[in-house]
Amino acid sequence: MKILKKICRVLLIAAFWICVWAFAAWRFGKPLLFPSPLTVLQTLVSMLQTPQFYMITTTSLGNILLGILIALMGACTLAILTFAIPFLKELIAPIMAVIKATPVASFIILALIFIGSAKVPTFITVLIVFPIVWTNLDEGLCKIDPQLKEVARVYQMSPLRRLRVLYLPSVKPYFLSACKSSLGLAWKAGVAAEIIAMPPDTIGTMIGEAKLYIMTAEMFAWTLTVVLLSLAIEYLFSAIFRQLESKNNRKEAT
Amino acid sequence: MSMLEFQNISFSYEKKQIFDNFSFHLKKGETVALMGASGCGKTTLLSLAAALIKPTKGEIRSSATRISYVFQEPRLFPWLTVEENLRAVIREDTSDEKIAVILNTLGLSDCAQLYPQELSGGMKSRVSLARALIFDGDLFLLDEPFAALDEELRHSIGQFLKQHFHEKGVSAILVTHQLNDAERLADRILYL
Repeated sequence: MKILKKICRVLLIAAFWICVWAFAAWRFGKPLLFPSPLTVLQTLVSMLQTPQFYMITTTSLGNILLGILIALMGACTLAILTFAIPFLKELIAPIMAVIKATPVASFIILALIFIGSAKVPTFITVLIVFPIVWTNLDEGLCKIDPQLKEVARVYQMSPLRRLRVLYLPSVKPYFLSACKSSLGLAWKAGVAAEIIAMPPDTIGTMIGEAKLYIMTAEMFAWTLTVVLLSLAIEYLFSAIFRQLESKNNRKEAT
Repeated sequence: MSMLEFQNISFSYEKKQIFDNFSFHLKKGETVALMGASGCGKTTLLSLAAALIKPTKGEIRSSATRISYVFQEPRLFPWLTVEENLRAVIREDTSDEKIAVILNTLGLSDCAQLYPQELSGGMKSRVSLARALIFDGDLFLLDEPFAALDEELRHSIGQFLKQHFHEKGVSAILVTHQLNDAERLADRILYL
């Protein structure tokens, strides 16, 4: 019953905003520039009936997920290294600060020059996710309870056992938090990179081309696709994180 | 024969001198109770014995191969159950039966699948003690192990420990504020 109520509420809110959109489109009176929700939906439905839609969507998803995976692996490796070698952390701190502070568009344009358009979305995704995950993991490793470290030392725990019972559980909340923060950003930055770099057969390129040819309905439809995919990915990962965190919550309940 | 020997140890925390030219000797199979006012260095002595900290001067000689340390705080891994906390320190040849016996002896059989946050203070102390027993050290360092326990439990667990130390020839240093516990377990009492 509760779930049904929640679904109804969500649908009502969505319906409200669609009505706002329809009203705004009607008032604007220029369907070429500001299409109505019905036009966009019709465009989306016709796109869904083409095999290119799925190829393009898969390519974008693949590029961005690859970037996320590379960033996660790289950040985990670097976090371990900087934890073991404190000087290394000091050495890379300025680089991380620059990456965090520099506008994404600057990196996209620089990347276009050096690595070509096809690899830009993956590269940008890595740039967005990497510092967030590394910073969180670094914090997690530094905040491992020193009293528990003493227990591991006194009780002669092997490195593997320490990894299993101390280090991994300690950093897990930080890692999950980093993944939650960076997922949405990665998707947005990745698509933005595609719009600027225009690699072949990607959602961002389709948005860019639609803008170029003033095919506004297609532009809206592809943007809607991005939003729906973003919601789907967030929902899927939220479910995974909830599963991983629910075990933590029982352990940490007071 | 000596299990532990402190020779002319000096140690200080920042500007506070805890030990100055202090010597101490623990024989094999002997239990010594440490008593004294708060802040006099009892826990520091245990930390030095466990090589968690180093003296600024002097030498510590230890022939202990395995140290079972019951810390003043339980220091249990919060994401592991009681049983998993014990299994985290066991040797590969430790049987499940031994874990069950120790849990039963300390009245923890019903708590094996609970997490530390679901336990009372007294139960956590007993799990910490169970961990020390399961590790089977030849030197036991016990920092107020009975602080959160009632008199009945203090007595029964104290008797159990005394028997265990005697059977295994274990050496032990017991930090306590309770003279009863010191007299029950220790061969001699050292006032700091």
